[in-house]
Amino acid sequence: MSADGMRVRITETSPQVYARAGGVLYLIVIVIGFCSEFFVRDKLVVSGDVTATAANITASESLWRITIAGELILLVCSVALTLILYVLLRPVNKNLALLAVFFNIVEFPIEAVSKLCLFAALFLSGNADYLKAFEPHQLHALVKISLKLHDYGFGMDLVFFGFACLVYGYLLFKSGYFPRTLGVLMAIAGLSYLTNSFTLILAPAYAGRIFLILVFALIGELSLCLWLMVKGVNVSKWNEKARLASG
Amino acid sequence: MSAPVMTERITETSPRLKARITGVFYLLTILTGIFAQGFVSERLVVSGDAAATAANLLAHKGLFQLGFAVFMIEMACNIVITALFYDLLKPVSRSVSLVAAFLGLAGCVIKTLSRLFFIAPLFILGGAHYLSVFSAEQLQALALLFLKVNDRGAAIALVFFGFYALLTGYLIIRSTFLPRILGVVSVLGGLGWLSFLYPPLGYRLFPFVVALALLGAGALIVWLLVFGVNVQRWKEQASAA
Repeated sequence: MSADGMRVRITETSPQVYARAGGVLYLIVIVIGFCSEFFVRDKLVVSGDVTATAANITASESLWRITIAGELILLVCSVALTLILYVLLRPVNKNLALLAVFFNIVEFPIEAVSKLCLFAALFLSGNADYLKAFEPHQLHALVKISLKLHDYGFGMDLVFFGFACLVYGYLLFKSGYFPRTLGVLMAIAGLSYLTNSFTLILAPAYAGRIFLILVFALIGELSLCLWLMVKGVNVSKWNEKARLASG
Repeated sequence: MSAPVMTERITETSPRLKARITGVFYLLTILTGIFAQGFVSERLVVSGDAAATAANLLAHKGLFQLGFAVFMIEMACNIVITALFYDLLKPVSRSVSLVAAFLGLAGCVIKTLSRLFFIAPLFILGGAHYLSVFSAEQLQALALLFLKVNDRGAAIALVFFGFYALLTGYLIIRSTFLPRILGVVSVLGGLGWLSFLYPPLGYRLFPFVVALALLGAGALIVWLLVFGVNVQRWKEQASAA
């Protein structure tokens, strides 16, 4: 190893710092994701009643907007988390670690743009003058269409996230510096995302029931999050593998 | 070269195997794309006829959903080949290869997003109670409108894939481990896709551009699957970089 290489190694941030930061970011992602889905949208959107849904959205406009803002912050954290997982898992297999990044790079913009549908739902629930050209019931139907578009956009981006989780699972499993169980749990999380999304696409009638499968995604991701925060990474094994990988 | 470097080089997947895997995923991308676009979208969507399109969609709902699922698989495979081509062509120029990959990913994002408007007609025509406030003609018009948005979105993505093919072709021409002619065909195909910078021109030239692009893709796929890359020269160019 050259002298330059040595200096870089020494001044570089320890992988432990990356792991802890990753754990904290992951916790933010999980908490925001869970709250916005189950405490806000699930409460405001009344299934089978578009009029009540539109009324709820108008009545809770600031809550609706805060949720969207929160989900954009979630995405910003996810971008940073993606970089951290890349750095942590790169020593296992550089190309696969990059592939996971690529899956996420495609996933995030789709998720972010699909939030536009939530704004559309908000506008269509309001009573601005220019909307008077439509009957209230028609506007409510358009609200529902916007919400459906959001759900499908979310389902689509989870296809890519599902594949990313499978790659993460493999890399964690092979790493030697993370427990293999974490790898298995993340792979299961990936499979449950894929099952959920493809059910929504191919058999939408069952989508409501299969949705519960995402509990496995929560288990896998929460385990990785807590492990990163509490245990971090086995630094000596990580260093060994990183040295091997970069020469 | 130090000892750890040596062992790493050896344990790393060989460039030839990587090239073959690239060939496999490239083939999957092309086949899934042809199936979803040619055998589902083109067959069921009757441009300019909202009623006929709606009737087709409802009569072949399962096929339409399958087409959408295959579109998603196509995009996942496209991301995989973007990562693989980046790695394969990195020895020629790391920065150009990275720019190509970013353009390819932007194309994937735009194309996937436009697919949201491919699936939307299914629930708009689904006959749910809340939709009864619109007349059947209005719903059919909305469905066709969404399909047109999907089409235009995919056309925008083609411009990005065009720039991607240009850069990839350039890298293949400059490489020592793949035949130049494959790069030339890729550049020509890329220029063809760029006709979508002005969509009316793009749509007019579409059959010729598709033929050219498929020819180039086919040649590259066969080469990657059968010959892979010249491993010796790939390693030389990689260590020179």
